[in-house]
Amino acid sequence: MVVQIAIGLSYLLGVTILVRGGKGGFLSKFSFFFSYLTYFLVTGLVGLLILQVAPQYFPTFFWFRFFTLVVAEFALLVEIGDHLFMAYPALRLLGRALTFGIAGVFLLLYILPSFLAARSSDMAVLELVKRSALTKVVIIVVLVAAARYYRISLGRNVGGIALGLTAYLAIHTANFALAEHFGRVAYGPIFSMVGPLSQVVSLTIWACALWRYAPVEEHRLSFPAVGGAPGASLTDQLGRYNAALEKLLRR
Amino acid sequence: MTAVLTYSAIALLMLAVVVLLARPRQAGPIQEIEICSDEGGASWEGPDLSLAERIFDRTDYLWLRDQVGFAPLAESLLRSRTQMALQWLRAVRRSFDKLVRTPATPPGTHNPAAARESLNLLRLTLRFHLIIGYAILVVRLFGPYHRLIPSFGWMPSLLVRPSASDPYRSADAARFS
Repeated sequence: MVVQIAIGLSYLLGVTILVRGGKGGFLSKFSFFFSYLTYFLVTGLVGLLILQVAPQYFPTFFWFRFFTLVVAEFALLVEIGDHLFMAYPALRLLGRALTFGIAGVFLLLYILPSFLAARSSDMAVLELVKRSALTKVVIIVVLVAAARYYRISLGRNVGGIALGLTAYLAIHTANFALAEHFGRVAYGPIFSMVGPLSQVVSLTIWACALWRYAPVEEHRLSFPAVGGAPGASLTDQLGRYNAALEKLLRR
Repeated sequence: MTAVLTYSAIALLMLAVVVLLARPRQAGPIQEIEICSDEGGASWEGPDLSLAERIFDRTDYLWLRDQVGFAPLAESLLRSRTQMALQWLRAVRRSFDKLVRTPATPPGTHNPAAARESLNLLRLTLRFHLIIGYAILVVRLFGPYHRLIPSFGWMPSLLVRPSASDPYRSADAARFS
């Protein structure tokens, strides 16, 4: 009963977010996020339909949907990074660099070894999901920390997307760790309940954050040209800093 | 059980960190002073660079220690110069960060030239942070007079191959005296 209520609530919140985005005219501003949400809602409905019409195909469809959502969450991280640093030419690709860099390192050193060493396919899936969720949370923490270092305000929308995704992934990680430890028999009923509840938590945060369009605020202050003549290009100025620092190092 | 507790704790900790980091910063007077005034910054033009060269120049230290013979005073100078060097490097980093935070209108999504430019700017930014982080570490650990780049002056003697006619050419008797 709790699971059904949670799933119903998830759909209500998801549709509300899409309607608010459409009315506010900012669907295209967060194209990855709204695509992810649409995919989540539509494939959920398709899953329910398959369960009624052809239940033998449901496990295959479930895992296909599950893994595409796991991969799509990385695209959400790219979008969060893009929005955070978009206004600053020197940092424009920082979000992508951090996302791909951390994901690559964690994939090689943290996710793949445990996946390959797993004793059974069940354990392999649990390890993969748990570790990829933790990797995504690490990426979010690093992105938000980098934004804070550069005094970039996250803004209500991006901050909300990051917070909702972190809440979902944090619950997910703990849930999968508990499932791995206690096993399917003992933890199965709780496991199937926590999943939909975590979706309700994150969708509630997203609904509040995306009620209206509030982009990342950029610095309104104009800074004097440092390290070069006024009007010199940013590349020249940054290059001058690097050259002078190198000169100091080589002294 | 330990792994479960560890994963749960890490997950909750990360959530708490994101909540804390995502809070909007209060624009207090310190931030305004730091942004508006040039006192905290350093530039690469005019007297600032010569100031840096003086901070990192060991002549005064060597003169006090070796020629005048005031070793304790030389050590005191070294300590104060270390602090000055660290402050100067941090000021340069602040100044660089200020420059990096200069906003501009984002280019169109399909603009390869702008993408290349952004990549180059990011490379310069990361390079600067890497170098200045290394410089701060070396100054903190070894002081401002330590060579920031290790010397490879001994390399040529190893690289020079003795010719068949003069098998002992690379050996230098003066080194063994």
